[in-house]
Amino acid sequence: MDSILGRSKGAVHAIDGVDLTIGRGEIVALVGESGSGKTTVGRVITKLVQPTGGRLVFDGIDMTSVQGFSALRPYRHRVQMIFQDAYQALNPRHTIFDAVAEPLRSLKLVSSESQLTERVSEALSAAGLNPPQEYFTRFPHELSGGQRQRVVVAGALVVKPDLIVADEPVSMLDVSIRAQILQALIDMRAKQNLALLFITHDLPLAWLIADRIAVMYLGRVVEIGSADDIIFNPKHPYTMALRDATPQLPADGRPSGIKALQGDVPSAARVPKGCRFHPRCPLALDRCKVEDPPALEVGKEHLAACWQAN
Amino acid sequence: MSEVFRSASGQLLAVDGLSVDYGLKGISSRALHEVSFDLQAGEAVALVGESGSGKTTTAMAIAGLLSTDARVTSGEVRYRGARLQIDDDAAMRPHRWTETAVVFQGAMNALNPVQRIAKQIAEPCMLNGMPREAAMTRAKELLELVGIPPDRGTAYPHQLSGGMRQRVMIAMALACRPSIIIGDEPTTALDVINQAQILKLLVELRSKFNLALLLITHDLSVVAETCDRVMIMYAGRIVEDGTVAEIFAAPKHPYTRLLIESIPNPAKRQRVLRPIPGDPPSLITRPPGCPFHTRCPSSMSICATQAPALESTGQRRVACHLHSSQMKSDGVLVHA
Repeated sequence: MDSILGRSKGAVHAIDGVDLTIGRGEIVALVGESGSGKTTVGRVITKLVQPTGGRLVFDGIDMTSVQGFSALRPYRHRVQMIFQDAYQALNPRHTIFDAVAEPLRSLKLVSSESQLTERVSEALSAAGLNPPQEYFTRFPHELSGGQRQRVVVAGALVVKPDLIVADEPVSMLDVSIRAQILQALIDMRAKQNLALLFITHDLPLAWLIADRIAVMYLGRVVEIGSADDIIFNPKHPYTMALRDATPQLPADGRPSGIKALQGDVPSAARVPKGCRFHPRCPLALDRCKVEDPPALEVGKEHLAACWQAN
Repeated sequence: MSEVFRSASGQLLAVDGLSVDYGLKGISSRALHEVSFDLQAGEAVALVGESGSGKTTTAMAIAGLLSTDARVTSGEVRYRGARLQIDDDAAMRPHRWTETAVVFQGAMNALNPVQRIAKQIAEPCMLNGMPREAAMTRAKELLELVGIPPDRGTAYPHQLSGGMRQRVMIAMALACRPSIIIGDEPTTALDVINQAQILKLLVELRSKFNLALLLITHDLSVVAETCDRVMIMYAGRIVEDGTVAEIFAAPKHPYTRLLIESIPNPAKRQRVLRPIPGDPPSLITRPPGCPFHTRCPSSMSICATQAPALESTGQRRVACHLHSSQMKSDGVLVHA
């Protein structure tokens, strides 16, 4: 899967050759720094960005070239997106009821008002807003940040999708209420076999919620494996760098001594030759400067794109 | 009187019984309630809390940067023993930057988008009377100090990454050689690798210049890497205060404990979500009694009516009826 974010002069590969599968009812976390392309992957899957190469297959149907509102209607019904910023995702002039009812109305999924009310109530309460009736006539500005994000979650759950792409859904929320939102998503997986692509830069959070973790760097998946393998047995030096840069909660209060990788992610307009991580890699060899490593199998369902992963 | 007694010689900053109200459409609501703490020279203290806890109001009050709708209703802030006129902008001017400097959260918003970064770093020096040439030289030194090649000084903020912009903010804060740096969520907008770089930089600079650091954050996990002491705030009050080791190893306030447990920790190998029920109270929905009692798993009947006092044992402070000396001596408390 490739995607180009167009500019008038030239083009930039925002993501480049990404292979990713998400099983029914599976939670996959996509982790990386800003500029890694993780959000673009989410936007390709939700058909907000048209890829320039590769294929997007959903439930056996090739969706790559499907475009247009009516052609995409069945797909939108089954694949929903949750954005990071609930302040911007909600129309300030719409009541909470209307915000959550909107996808049901526009996708024409209900036939009567009573059915509409029932579905909206169900979704609000699944997202943790109880009793749901209390929120019907309220406006976004009357709610706290956490409640607003729960409304956004309800808006995604209301169509009973098969897949939700959640782009940093809790990173703007207070720590104490993050878990409530995540619990709502996990509960829906258990109840409706919902699959979730969870986009985050927070590795411990990814480990907590996901079955598998894919680590992205500069438009590519550099490592993918089970959540435990990625955290406890990482094979790609970039994954190790991410883990080592993450502050740990020390039981004894002593700092764990975080290690910071030098430099920034290079611009996608100037992707380094060879392995794209080699200029920042502490283990880089001469080979890494010229030859781009393919994804190598390093364990059971565990792939890493590094010449030294084995 | 400050509730923490220490040698007066090392004391740099004392916040004493500080209360701040915000006036919103004629309704006054209390953002800070009798906040007291002190800061020693060279000490790094974290102020941790959720949105609405008052941590940013505390920081802004100390820097004399409260918004116009805020009113200091009681208490005072002393710097090296002298009272600061924190609600008088003109009186605070000679103090700001030279004694206390602030690193703000959103470097993109805090920097001037149409001015080269070296010039922006030189500005606080020039405001304090340094000639232009000398200030520009100082700006170059400062860039180098925070790990930006001095020749990047001609760049505009948009040409820098988020991490680099935050370094520029730190360089600006250091420009007039302050004794206190207040970091208001300095790494919140950054991803984990940039965050690690900035945290390391702050730790280095702190020991190099013997800076006192007041780190405002909602993220407990960054605290251990950078600070000696941590104060937990909830609904405008300090609810617990202790060394980083004490707080992480044996939190006393139920809120502190739940906050620590709510952070995913792979080292514990337990993939369990532990939410704190309910929402943090807003300024206008503060419950009576202990402000945390509506979300507290250990809540007792007294908690709904009476706010616990912040009691100190040595240098540890906690505001919770479970740990109150009165409760213990009366024998009312049967479980802890």
